[in-house]
Amino acid sequence: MQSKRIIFLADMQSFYASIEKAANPSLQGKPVVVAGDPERRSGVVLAACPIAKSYGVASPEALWQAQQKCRDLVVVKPRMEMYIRASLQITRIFESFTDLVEPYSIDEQFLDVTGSLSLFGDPWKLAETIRERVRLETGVICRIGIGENKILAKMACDNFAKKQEKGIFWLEKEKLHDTLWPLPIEKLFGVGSRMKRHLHMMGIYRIGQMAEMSPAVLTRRWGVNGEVLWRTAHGLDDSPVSPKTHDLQKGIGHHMTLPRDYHTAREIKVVLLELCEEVCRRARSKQLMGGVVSVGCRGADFDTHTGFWRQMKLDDCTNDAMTLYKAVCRLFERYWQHTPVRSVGVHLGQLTEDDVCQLDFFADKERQRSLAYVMDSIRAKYGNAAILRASSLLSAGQAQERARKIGGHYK
Amino acid sequence: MIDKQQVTQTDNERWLELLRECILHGMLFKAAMWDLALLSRQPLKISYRAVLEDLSRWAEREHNRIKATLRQNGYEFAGTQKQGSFYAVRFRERGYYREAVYSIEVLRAECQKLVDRWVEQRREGSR
Repeated sequence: MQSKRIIFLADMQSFYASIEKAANPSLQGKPVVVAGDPERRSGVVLAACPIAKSYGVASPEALWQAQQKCRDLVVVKPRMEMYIRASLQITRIFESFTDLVEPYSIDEQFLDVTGSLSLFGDPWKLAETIRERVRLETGVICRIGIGENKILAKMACDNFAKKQEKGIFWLEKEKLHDTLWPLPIEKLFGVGSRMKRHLHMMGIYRIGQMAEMSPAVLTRRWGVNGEVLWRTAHGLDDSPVSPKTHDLQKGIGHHMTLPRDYHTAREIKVVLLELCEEVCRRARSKQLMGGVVSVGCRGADFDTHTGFWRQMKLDDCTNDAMTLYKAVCRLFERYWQHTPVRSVGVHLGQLTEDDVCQLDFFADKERQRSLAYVMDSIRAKYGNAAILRASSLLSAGQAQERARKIGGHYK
Repeated sequence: MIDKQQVTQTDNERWLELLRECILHGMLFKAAMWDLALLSRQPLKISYRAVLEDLSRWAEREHNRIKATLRQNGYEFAGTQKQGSFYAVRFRERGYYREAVYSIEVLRAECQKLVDRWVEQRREGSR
C-alpha cells in the first residue's frame, strides 16, 4: 500500500479562448481573445489564446490595450453558460478516473488519484491519458501538476507544468531544494504583490530563504498566515481533496463593477437595491436566511483603496429584499464618505434554514414572503429581467444589463 | 523528479483518437444524408445530390473501416446518447465499460474540418 497520496491539479490552458477556438474552426491559427463587449470596445480581456499571448496580450488587460498590441486580434464575446457547461463536462471526465474531484475554479480542479493508480497505471501515464481525453472530448488542452498534496500539485502546475511542452510536472517534496526553492518569492502560492513587497523589505527574495527561516519569525509578523506560508514553502499540506467542498454555503454575496463612477447616494442606492434583490433571491432559492449583512463600496482607483466594507447584525434573520435593503442603507449612510463609487457589493452571512422565522405584530411577513416567491418563479420561468423594480429603469439601474450576464460576463 | 520525456503517447491514447474519428465520420455521413433530404426541395437539388452522396458514402466507408479496426483491437460501441449539449458514447474497452463525453459544438466543428479535408482530397485526386 502506498503511503503518499498522489494529487493532480489540472489547469485548462486559456480556457475560454480554447473553447471558442475548438468550437469555431475559422478561428484556428488566429490570435483570439475573449473579452467584455467587442462592439462597445469596452471591458477587459478574460482569456487570450497562446497566439495572442505571443503578441504580448495578457489577461486581465483593457481590450483597447490588447488591440493596440495586436492589430489582427480576433475578439470573441464571452459565453459564460457554455464555459460552465464545459467545466462540468471536464469534471465528468475526471470523475471517470477518480471519485475525489474538487473544482478549485472554473478552469482548475484537484484530483486525488491515489486509489486509481492500480487500475490506470503510474501517475505519468494517467496524467497523459487524462490530458488526451480532455483534448479529444472538449478541444481544451490541460496542464497537470502532480504532488503528494494539493499545495505541491498547485505549485507544480503554476511554476513548471505550464511552462513545459508536455504540460505535466511532478513536484516531489524531497527535491524542493532543487526545484521550488531557487524560484523568486512571488512564485510561492499565497504571495501576492503586497506580500512580496513586505518580504522584500525583510530581505526575503527567494522561496528557499523563507523555507530556511524559523516559522516563529513569520508567525510573529503575520500570525497563522505566516505559518501557512512557511508550510507552503516546505510543501506541507494535509488538506484532503473534498468533492463536496462547495456544498456547505457560509454566505451569499453579489458584487458589481459599475460602468462609470457613481457620485450621488441616490444613484448608488439604486444599485444596492438591485444587489439586495439578487442576494435574497439566491438565498430563497436555497431556502436560507441570513443574520449578518455586509456592504462594500470602492472607488475607481483600486490601488488607493478608497471606500469601505462594513457589516452589521440584523435584528432577525431575513431573505426579504426590502428588509435587507433598509439595513444596507443604514450601513451605507453611516460609512460612505461621499467619494465616487465604481464597485459595490452586498453579502448576507450567518445563514440559517428559512423554514422557521420570527413573526412580527406590525408587518405581514407571510405576505412579503409569498410575494417574493412569486417574483422568483416569474424570473425563473421568463428570465431575470421579466420583473424589475421601477428604480431599475433609471439611468443608474444595472438590472437589465446584468440579466444578460453570469458573473458579470455575457451568458 | 522524473524525466518528462518518459511520457509518450500510449496505445490507449491512440485508440481514443481513433474512437473519436469513428464517431465523427459516423455523424458526418448521417448529417450529409440529412442535408440531402432537406435540399431535395431546392431547385438545384440535382447538382447538390452528387456531392452530398459522395461525401456521405466516403464518411460511411471511413466510419465502418475504423469501427472494424477498433473491434479487432477489443473496442466496441455499447451505445450513444445526446445529453443536453453533450454527446455521451459508451464503449467496451477490452472487457471494461468506459464512457466518453463529447461537446456537441466541438464535434460539429470537427465535422467541418473533416469536410474540408475531404474537399482537399477530392481536389488533389482530380489533378
